[in-house]
Amino acid sequence: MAATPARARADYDYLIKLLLIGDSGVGKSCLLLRFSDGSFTTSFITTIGIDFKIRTIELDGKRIKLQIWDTAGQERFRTITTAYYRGAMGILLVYDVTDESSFNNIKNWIRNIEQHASDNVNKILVGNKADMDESKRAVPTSKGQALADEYGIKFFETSAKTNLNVEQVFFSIARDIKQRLAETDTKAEDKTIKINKPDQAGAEGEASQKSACCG
Amino acid sequence: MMSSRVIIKKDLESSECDAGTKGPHLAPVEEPKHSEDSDDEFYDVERSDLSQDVPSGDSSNVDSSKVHASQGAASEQCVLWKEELECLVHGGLPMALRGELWQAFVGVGKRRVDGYYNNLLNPKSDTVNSMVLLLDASHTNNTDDESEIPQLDTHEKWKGQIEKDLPRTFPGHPALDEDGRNALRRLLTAYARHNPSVGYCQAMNFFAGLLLLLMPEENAFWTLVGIIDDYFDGYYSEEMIESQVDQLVLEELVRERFPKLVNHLDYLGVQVAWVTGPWFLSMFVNVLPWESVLRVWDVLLFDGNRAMLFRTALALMELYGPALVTTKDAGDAVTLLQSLAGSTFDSSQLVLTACMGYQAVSESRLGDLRKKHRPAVLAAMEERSKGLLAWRDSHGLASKLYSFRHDPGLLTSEAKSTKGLNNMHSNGDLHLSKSNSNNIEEFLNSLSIDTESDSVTSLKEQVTWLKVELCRLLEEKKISYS
Repeated sequence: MAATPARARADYDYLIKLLLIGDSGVGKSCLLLRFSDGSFTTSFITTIGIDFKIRTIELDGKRIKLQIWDTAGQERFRTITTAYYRGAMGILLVYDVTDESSFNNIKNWIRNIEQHASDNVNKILVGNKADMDESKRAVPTSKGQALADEYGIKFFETSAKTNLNVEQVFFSIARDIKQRLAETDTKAEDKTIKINKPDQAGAEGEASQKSACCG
Repeated sequence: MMSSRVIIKKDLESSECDAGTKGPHLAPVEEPKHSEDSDDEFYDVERSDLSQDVPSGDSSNVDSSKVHASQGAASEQCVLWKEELECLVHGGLPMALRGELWQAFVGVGKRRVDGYYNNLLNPKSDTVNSMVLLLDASHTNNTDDESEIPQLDTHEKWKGQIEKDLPRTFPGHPALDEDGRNALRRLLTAYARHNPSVGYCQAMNFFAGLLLLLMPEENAFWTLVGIIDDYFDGYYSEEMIESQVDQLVLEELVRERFPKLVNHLDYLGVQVAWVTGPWFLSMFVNVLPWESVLRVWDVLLFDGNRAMLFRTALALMELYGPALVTTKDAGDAVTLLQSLAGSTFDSSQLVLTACMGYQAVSESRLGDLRKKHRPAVLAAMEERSKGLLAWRDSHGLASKLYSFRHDPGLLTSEAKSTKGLNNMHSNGDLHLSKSNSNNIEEFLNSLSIDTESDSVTSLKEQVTWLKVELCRLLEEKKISYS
């Protein structure tokens, strides 16, 4: 273990690809910046098309490299951004707790996932900007929780600004995915090949779900 | 300093004579002179000496009749001047003149219609409609008859998006204070009303913001119109077809030029477009350091087409390819390329590499490649729409959608227009939103879909499907004719 070969040895045990989706302006890029760089800025710029960050975390003694794709929220970019759904192992559905329409649109985003992502993709619901004054809140926590329950997914309210629950969200989904990968790994024998969604022929055709483990 | 300005202006004037063979019409810009200080260090006076035989005139108003009179005799010289000018542009425009020159490159003088901008902002339906018609004669935003003039007061759904993006456009820049933001809002609103088939697309906020920093508001509007309508036709519209086509073209060029790099990226599972897609969409704003962005725009606007985007992207691959092949996974490769691009401070090296190294990447070559790749994009869109229909089918909506799809009235009215792909786009938009919106809304409401955006999405999907189908037919027709 001490003497790692110089080459061909990945610096992580698992590689997990995450995707952030949600309406424009809900704070996807801010969440990502908080998580990847530990910083927050109110002077953020519009995301054009797609952006990308990485961070390696440690979970249960394993090094997990997170590749996180950040998407533009404007609807017309969906043609471009849905091409990235297929390779994602986990998707963070983000809304703004002060913006009800961003919450109502979560249904549409879920629909997008059903159409374009892998069937077994992990999802998590995130209500961002939870630091905002209660008078500005438009979506009560209970409503967010109810929606998450309806879809059978986990739910967090976060604040990229105050760093509330940001780590928790990413760690939570990373843990679930790692567990899923570990399970499929043990029963790798009975692999099933799914040939659904032929419309994604042009999308990334890679299935490198797990990196070579350096045991 | 003043005299060198005149020379530049003269250069522009003179190159008008071969404007027919070149994209942009270098018309003089009727614009009060900026009072800002010229920064001498940006301007290499020596370089303009070669063109000092141009008679100098009053800087504020060049007598164009003189230029025209000497046209025949000077036609040979025109070519020389143009080459000279091209060299100057490649060397970087002086900051103090940049705004004016950009306007000249884009042909603002020719585009400008007095009162149009203000009418867009203060819609009094009749005047605006006639103005729109007036402009249609020379523009992409064609409409077949008067009844299809965009309704200014309905469905300005881009409004909210613009509001969201105002504070996210060069935040903290001193010029984008409240007044600056208001100007930005007006500019984007006017453009969206001017060209409803594009409306507002994120990234335009940066272009508009940049232009506002360099020129007065109304001039910025006409420059933006020139850039989006001509240079980037089909790029920022709902389907973003040309944007996707360009990425396929770029990928082919990268494969051709950098086989080793592409091998490595393939091995890592990185698609070039992951990084270059945003590069093109933002025209390198927020991608490269400012000085480099401006230098790339100098050439791009001068060229009159977007070949410079390709050349710049290829130059960046050339510069950073060697570093990229050392990366060990996709994430590292992408972040490395992003960060290297962001530190391309040697703008001269970048522009030189792009313009000298990739001269062969000409607009005509790109045109051929686009023609080759466009069908794939259209087909993919069609597939998506079909997939969507199939998906809807499984949710019990298909029969209703099917009946809509085959509405014969719609198809005939659509088929009427055979002016070309782009007209097709705008017409498609108008037809649907005008003549069929009621139907669609009714039937969608009858499906008891609960949120508003559901109907918007479905409508849009149908529009997309129809457009793709029609574009494909048109392409087929075109091919069989040629």
